Amino acid sequence: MEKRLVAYIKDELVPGYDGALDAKTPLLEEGVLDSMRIMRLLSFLEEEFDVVVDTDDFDPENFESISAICDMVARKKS
Amino acid sequence: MDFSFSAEQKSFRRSVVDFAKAKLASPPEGGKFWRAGFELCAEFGLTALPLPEAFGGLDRDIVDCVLAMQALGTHCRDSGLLLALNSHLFTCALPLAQYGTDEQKEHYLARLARGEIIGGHAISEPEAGSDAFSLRTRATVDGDGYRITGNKCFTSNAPVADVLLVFARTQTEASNPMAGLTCFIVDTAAEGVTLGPELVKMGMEGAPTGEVFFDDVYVPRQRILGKVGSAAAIFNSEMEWERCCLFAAHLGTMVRQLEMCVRYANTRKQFGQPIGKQQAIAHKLADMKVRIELGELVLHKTAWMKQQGKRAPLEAAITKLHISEGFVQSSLDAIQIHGGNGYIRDYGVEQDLRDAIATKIYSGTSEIQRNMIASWLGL
Repeated sequence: MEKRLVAYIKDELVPGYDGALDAKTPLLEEGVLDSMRIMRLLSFLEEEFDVVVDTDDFDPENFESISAICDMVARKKS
Repeated sequence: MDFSFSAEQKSFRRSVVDFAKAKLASPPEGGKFWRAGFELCAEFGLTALPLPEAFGGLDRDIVDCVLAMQALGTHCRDSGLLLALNSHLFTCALPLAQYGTDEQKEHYLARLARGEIIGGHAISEPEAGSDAFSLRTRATVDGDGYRITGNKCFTSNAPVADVLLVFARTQTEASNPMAGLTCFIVDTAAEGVTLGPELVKMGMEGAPTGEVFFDDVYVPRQRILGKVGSAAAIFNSEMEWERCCLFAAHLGTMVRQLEMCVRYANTRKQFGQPIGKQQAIAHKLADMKVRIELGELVLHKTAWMKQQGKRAPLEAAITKLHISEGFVQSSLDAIQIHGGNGYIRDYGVEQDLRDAIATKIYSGTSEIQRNMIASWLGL
């Protein structure tokens, strides 16, 4: 899941991003995720991992890093 | 693939058409909020369309709401009233139904559904328009609640609203502007809330719009809508509904506009024949028809996606952009087709242009919609 997310964010969301991007990169702080990209990311998560991300999941902590996103998806799938 | 509507959907649309023709075709002049018209809408159930039956709602899905709003756009001559209805319903009552607690629903929903109280939502600020998530209104913890301080501008329904969904920042140190935003349900009668005077606008005069000032307004924790920090998600959801349902009404207006233009082109004669026989006029009418048909396709696709429980931010942005820009262009064409008559206020053509201009601005400007679409392309 982590690899797919890194690839999606690098290739689709921020193709021009020249910083390092790994599981711990602070996505919000670094500006990798903004309001528009989060909307795209939500669609990706729901399609790719067959989960529904609802309003209660819309907590910045769930999007602060790829690791946090993976944890959220894993919680939702369990 | 099936583009047809069910017999029930057609019957429902027919009932809205009949209602609008009978009750909303002749709004009073004067460019003010038509409260009696709003009450008629409430009596018919339009203020309750997507709300749960348990609270007096009609439990209509988004496709039905789109059909109703399209019908209203065609047959109600007060676009401002429809903007007010949209703000009440899709940016206040519906989010309350979707994200509210049982207590919040008990307290507000039935009255909103019956139109006894009027709702709106307050997010735009003098320094936070298109950049909505950079808003500065603060909500700080005070005991078992929050105190809100700040001011909102261009708030639809504010001058007549009883309750507003107010977006405020609860986390000031957040690294990302969309983090730390919380949505509060605020009664406009609460101590510290001041409603500014109604703003005089270029069009949409029937939609009361104004500023709202919050001076240390205490809001109990029970009046937080959703979770603390979840307002951006609520806002995005609202906008997808609004970009369907409000712009369905505008699309409906474009249908009425085209019908009016075709009638005029068939009866107005110049150079010995109806002006519709002139290719220059006929092509304008053809273009107006194309805008409507394409708008309807993308609108209904977006509504269908939402009906299926899918996210549709890209589709909603395309819908909003296409219909609003088409509405402006068709309004210009309608005036041109009517010539001098189109420029005369009493003739009833120029009003649509003044209304249409606003549609490129509210609910996210055309530029913001293009930014969203470009973002989707990875730009």
